[in-house]
Amino acid sequence: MDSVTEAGFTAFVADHWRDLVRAAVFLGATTHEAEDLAQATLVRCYDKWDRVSGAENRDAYVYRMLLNQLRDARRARWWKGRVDHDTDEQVSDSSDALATADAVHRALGALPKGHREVVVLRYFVQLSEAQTADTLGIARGTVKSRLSRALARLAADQHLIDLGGRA
Amino acid sequence: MTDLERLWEELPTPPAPTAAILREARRGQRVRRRRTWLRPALVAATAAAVGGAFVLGATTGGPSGSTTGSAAGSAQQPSPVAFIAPLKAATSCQALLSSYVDRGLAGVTAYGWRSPAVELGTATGPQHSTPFGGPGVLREPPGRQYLDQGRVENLAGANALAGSNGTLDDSPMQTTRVTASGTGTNVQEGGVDEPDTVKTDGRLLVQVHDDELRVYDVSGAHPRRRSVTDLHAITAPELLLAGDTVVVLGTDPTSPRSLLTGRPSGSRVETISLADPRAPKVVADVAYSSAITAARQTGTTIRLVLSSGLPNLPFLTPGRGMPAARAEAHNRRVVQHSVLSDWLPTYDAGHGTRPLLSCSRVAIPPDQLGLDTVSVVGFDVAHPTAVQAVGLAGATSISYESQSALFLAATPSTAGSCPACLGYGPRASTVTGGTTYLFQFAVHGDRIDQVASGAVDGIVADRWSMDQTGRVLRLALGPSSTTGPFNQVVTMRRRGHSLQVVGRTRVASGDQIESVRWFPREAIVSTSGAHNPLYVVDLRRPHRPSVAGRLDLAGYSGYLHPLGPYRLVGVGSGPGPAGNWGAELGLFKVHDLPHVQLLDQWHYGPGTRALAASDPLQFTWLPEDRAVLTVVEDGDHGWLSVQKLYQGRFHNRMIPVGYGPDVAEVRTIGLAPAKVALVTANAVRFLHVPMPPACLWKRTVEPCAGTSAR
Repeated sequence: MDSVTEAGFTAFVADHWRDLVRAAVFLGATTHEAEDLAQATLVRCYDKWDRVSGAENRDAYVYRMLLNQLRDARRARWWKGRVDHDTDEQVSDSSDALATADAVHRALGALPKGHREVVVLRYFVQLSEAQTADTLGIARGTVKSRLSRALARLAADQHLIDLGGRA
Repeated sequence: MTDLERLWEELPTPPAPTAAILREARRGQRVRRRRTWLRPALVAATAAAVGGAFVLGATTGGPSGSTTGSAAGSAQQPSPVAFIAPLKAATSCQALLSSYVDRGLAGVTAYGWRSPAVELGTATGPQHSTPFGGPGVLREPPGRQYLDQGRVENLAGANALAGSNGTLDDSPMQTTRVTASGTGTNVQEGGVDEPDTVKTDGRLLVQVHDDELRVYDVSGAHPRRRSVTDLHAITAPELLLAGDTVVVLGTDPTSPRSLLTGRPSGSRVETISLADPRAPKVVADVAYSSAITAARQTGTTIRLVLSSGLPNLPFLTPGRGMPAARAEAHNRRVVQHSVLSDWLPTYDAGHGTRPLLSCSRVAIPPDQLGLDTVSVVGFDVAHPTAVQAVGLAGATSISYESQSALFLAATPSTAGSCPACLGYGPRASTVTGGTTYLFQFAVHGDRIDQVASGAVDGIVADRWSMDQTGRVLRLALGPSSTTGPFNQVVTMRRRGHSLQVVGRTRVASGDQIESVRWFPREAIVSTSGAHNPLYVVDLRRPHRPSVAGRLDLAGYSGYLHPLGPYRLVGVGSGPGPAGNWGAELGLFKVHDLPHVQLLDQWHYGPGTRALAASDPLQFTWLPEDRAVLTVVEDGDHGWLSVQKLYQGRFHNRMIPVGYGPDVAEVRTIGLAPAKVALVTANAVRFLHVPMPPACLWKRTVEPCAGTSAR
């Protein structure tokens, strides 16, 4: 990759890192997993970077890669079944980050997967409707309808969002 | 909603690791260019060449292999194994080592091995499987007849087709009843048992929990605990049962920890005799240097699939005084100077560590497979130290065993090639490209021979996506980089040594397959998407499968269970009456396939999870009692849902069964009509089904008042 393109890639990483990590957490990953996933996604995107032209396409492409990574991680994890978990926990996480992630998971966890993805990408990451549709491989109308249903559901479930525990 | 917005704003994130990303990405590009080297063609070895070339030392023998003599001696010369292209037998130990080193060099970095991505999941427990004892081995206690029923019905359907050519044009599509295996476990294939944490033969019930082996007598009116034994050298244990011998499989905590995953890389198989249930006796103890990823039992033979992962070589990492380039050069030298014993797995059956595989029994796979050593090991329960093994110097992530064959599948994990992936944790596969590679092995007793290889474009999600019925192998495939953006159901047949696609059809384009249930003439597929359709795929003509029916639903099922020819239950998630997603059961009428009708739905409440959707071991169908038992989790609390089916509707009763991680261990086993063992982390008790009439008609989530399980 030539230095100009790489400079563009580096700038993209700096600008979008935080959003990728947050999106991964909101889609169900723990904070450590989210950082791994975001990093893995960006490494994968490096390769095709110059071929994916245009800022709009890039966003959709990167978030699609992120969703793929998340799906693989989930599959690998449940596939392992009931293995002992003693080595999994990351003691270096601050308890704040853990608590935040946990509250988010409880709030969004009740949404079906497709709705959750639409809310995270469209509402929080603020991709456009077209980008969201492109990323998820669904129609724009589906994005609209899922978003409105999911937001209504979340508004109705306000009481679930409580950093201390279930209401 | 504003709370969530606040959480979004406040979520702490570290600074972007731009330098690390660039480093890894650039390295990935260099690696990809190197891996296009052509491998020298290997010529198939003749028997004579094999005899001379393999000098790895004493290896596995035949059934009488356990020795009373010196530790060095196993008398038999290892017999070569014929592998089917694209697998190639190694021509010599040197050639095998070169293959490991070449591929290892492609995957080594300044920090050691490239990433957990290249190492197959060192699962510390076997995949779900349960044992199934043959008639001569199991005793005949009073409850036996009831457990036997499952076996007979499961085999009948499959046996009817075993000899057929596979075309069933004229018979109507039909579902067949599935009940637990002979040891009480909800298995995928009738006649092929899978390990679990609870096993029974109707008279004794054996449970492993917290590294204890507990034996109960369940033949009477109340369960009686007979013994509790500490398992000293096994963690995350699971059981197989044959007669009065229990086989405990698990992780060996004394084995070295993998540098990549931090988990012990070895496993252990302990054979324990329950001849005296009050004093279980360890009869044999075999430690393997690699991890068990799957286990199955047919009759008295057990087959394990092991994965070695990548060796712990003495790598350096960059740091103060150690620039990255120097570390990388050092690490490459370390790989170049590695020896076969670094790569090949070993085992210790009490006579010292021995190689598990000789070079002649290891196949070199195509380049697209990730680097690993997968071993298929077979032994008879009565002779656990006499093992037969074949190996594969590459990573396969899925094992599926039918009654007559074992399939290993190496499948891509995403739609899109990922040669230099960093993955989260151990990944299921690192096949590059979009093709799944299939390797079929015939299993006769403890003999394992490869009989066929094949490849098909697409991704196999897990073993439930594969099914062999008669001579046809059916697969449900997700989209990969070499298919279009759609799912498929594909049929394959073995022609000579080649598994070839004979028919395919698209299913659920744009949606995601959540579960598949296979029958002789059809498959039922649950998908999640815009309308979560349930599909019926007609498989009566293997060369022309087709989607024959579709039912749009509000929710989807992670697990489908046929109750018989008329009814099917789906376990999964749905929006419920108020649109709040939670666990749901669906009852379907499948009498008139391809038309499927939803008869009833039971919604457990917002945020609940039906655990059987991801772990079918927590689902039990009791035909005599007409009850479905399944575990549901609500936050931290676990409940056993006892669903009585009456007049095409669910009637529910909920029994609390524990908290937190204990909930995943709850099991229910039908011992006899109206006698069900409920096994939780702390106790075994009997449930008596049917329920009292007062609760029969209650359609709420609260437990029945005034009733109790004894």
